[in-house]
Amino acid sequence: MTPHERIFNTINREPVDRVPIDIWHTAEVLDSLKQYAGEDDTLELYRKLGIDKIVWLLPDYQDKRPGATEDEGHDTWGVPTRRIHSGQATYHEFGKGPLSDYEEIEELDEYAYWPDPDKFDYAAVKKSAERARQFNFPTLGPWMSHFEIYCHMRGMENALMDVIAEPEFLDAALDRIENIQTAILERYIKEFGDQLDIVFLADDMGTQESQLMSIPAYERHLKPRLKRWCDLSHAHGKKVLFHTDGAARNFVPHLIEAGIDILNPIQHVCPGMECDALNEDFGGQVVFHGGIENQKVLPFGTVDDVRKETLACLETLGANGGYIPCSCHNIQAGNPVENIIAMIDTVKEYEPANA
Amino acid sequence: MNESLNQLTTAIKAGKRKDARAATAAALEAGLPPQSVLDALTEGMNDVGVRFKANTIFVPEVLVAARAMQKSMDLLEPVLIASGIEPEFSIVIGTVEGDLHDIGKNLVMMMLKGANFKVIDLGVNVSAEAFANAVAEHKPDLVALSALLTTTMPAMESIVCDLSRIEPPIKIIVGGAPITPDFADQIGADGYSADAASAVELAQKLCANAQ
Repeated sequence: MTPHERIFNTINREPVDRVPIDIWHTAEVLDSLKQYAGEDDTLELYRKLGIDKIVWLLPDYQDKRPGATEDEGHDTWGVPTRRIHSGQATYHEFGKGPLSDYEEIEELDEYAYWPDPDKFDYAAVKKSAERARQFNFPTLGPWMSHFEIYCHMRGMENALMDVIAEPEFLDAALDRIENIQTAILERYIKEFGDQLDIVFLADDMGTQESQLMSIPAYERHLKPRLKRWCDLSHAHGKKVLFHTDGAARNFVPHLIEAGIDILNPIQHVCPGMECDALNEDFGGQVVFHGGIENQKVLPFGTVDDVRKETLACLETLGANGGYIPCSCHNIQAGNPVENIIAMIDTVKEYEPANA
Repeated sequence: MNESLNQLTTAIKAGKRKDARAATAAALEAGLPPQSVLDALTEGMNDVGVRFKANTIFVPEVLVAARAMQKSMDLLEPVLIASGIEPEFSIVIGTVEGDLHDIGKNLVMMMLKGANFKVIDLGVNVSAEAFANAVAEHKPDLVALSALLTTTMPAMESIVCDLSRIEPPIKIIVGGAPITPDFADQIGADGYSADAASAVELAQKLCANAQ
């Protein structure tokens, strides 16, 4: 089977030759894998390692603000970003949110840096989609989010307080954030047609220990918006992969109601996210993607620890099929390569007891 | 209990900053003892901590409560200082070197302030040397270290190692998303807590034991 067939048969709960394996990684980990395999081309690398990569289709924003350097600039939404070096890792840290000091809804209309959906480089994405197809990899994009983008634009503490103190302002900003991305998704559907398989929707609703906000707040501000994006995706035959980190158990029934097809990344060390219970409660209603623990086992465990962890995920999240194993979020810089290979090989060699 | 003190407690619980400020002003104008105003405020934050720990409220509710508390403290603090009322315990807190994340640390800080700790906040990306200097300068009862990134956990370990050589010994507590009780033990920290409300209980326990 091709990676595309393996992933889609899993999503559709049809037979597969083996369980698929996806991988999420940082740039540093991609480099270490390329060195390990002696392969410079990213898609060729995935193919060589037998990874059923769901390939990202992310658009570059062409309307760049002047004055950007290699280390400092602005993101698509006009939020200042700064590159940070932390140990072996580099990542982008967000600066002060441009909406931080806004008090009135009218001020949102004066904001100068709402992205224009027509100014993304769709032609480059089209090339990526075509190349993914040559390798028979499934595709995923664009990256869409409501509250996470609002957090960046408003500052996270302000954004969280708005849930309680400024709900009308929050809704007005979310309206704008939603409409712009709806237009981007419509362009994706129009430009890429069948070359786009899965739409990526994200809003982290869990912390390491608990919920980021109450369920009534979620139902008011975010659930109807998620449903609109799910409906639009489904109307064009696309599957929806929804991402939320953390202890998000109480949101799962609402996510399923809104229409998501695949839930990622199943951070099972968080309270309420235990794999067996999650599978028992929701395994028939949603496909799981992720699972393989990425804060302790993959970075700091032994090869044997990684094998056991991977098998445990396969036997719980995958007990009834409908599971795409993957690192639980991006594998971080410095992660031993042998642990990553152990994860991949454990999935490839896995033979379900009921097969 | 005086009506304005009740109103202050209620305003803190609900995270109403204007109400909290008005109630504090009314209580002080009525000549109520500043300690009683502080107690009303602490009672409100205690309740917030209990409900947060029980997962009946979440980070947004805690943040607005802490903001209301700060509005009250803006008026109350000068009166407390003038009356010679000082927090019994103090704590130096910061996110470890290489890590710029501070929401978790700030939540802990707010809850500690609400429990009437004096909090010396060193911010983010704090070196072992900066922690040691702050300990020498402020002579706190505790030091609290935070980390979010798995890649900065080694920095936490080396900071705990450096601080453990300070004389007289200083108690160190740690927390943050990737941190576990085992890791805290392994690096020689004196305590770990999983959330902000538990961090306050831990700090209170360690300070009380030291007395």
